[in-house]
Amino acid sequence: MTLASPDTELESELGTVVLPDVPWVTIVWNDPVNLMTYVAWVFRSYFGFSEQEAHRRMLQVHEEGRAVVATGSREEMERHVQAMHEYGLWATVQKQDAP
Amino acid sequence: MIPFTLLPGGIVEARFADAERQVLRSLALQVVTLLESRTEAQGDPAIVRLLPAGYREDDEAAEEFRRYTESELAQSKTANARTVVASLDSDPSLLDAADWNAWLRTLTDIRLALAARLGIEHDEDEGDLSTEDGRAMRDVYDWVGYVQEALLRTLP
Repeated sequence: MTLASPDTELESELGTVVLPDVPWVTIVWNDPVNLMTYVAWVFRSYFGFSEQEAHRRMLQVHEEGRAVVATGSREEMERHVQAMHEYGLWATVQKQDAP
Repeated sequence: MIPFTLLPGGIVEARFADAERQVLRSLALQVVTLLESRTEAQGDPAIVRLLPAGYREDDEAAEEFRRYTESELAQSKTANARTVVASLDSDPSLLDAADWNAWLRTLTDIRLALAARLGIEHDEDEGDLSTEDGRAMRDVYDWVGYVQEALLRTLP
């Protein structure tokens, strides 16, 4: 019985290492200020999207109120969000499965 | 009418009437002043627009993110606005890639701050046009949008 506890701990630690990280996402939210051409330009110049892809995601922001523009580690997403804020777009970080 | 021309080498030439030049300069300086007062002006809708939260559902994470990034964000916005002011010192203004990148961001920041003052919160909002000041501000807001659109169309 005394050995059970450390074993369980070890197992859960291994579990954390082996399981893939839950990805984080960068979401850009619609706002009434930014011009559609500017939002598409930001997506193209910062994320390197093609003109068509940038336009598609811009329309998604405009029509659905939000669009996921990047997926990856939390740190990486926070860098993207800060960059979006520098461009004057409103972006947030969240876990991929969060509502 | 388009104030920008693309020159060889990817330089953008900007020509404005003196009055326009002064308006842009004053608006860019107001962005600087606003950001410098951000500690006292917490909760000011214009500050909230310029320095938004990085997390939507998690206040603790939002606060931590703000602690680590806000000062750098404010500094970068201030530097962009100062770049705009500096380029307006010459007529015409010659903008290299770093300059017009700063211009696009500052024009956005100016519009974000004006929208907050006008109370534009949703796509269909026109802002408070009940006063002469409000109507004048709305004209400036639209004009700055026109300038930004014109610059985007000119870029290499």
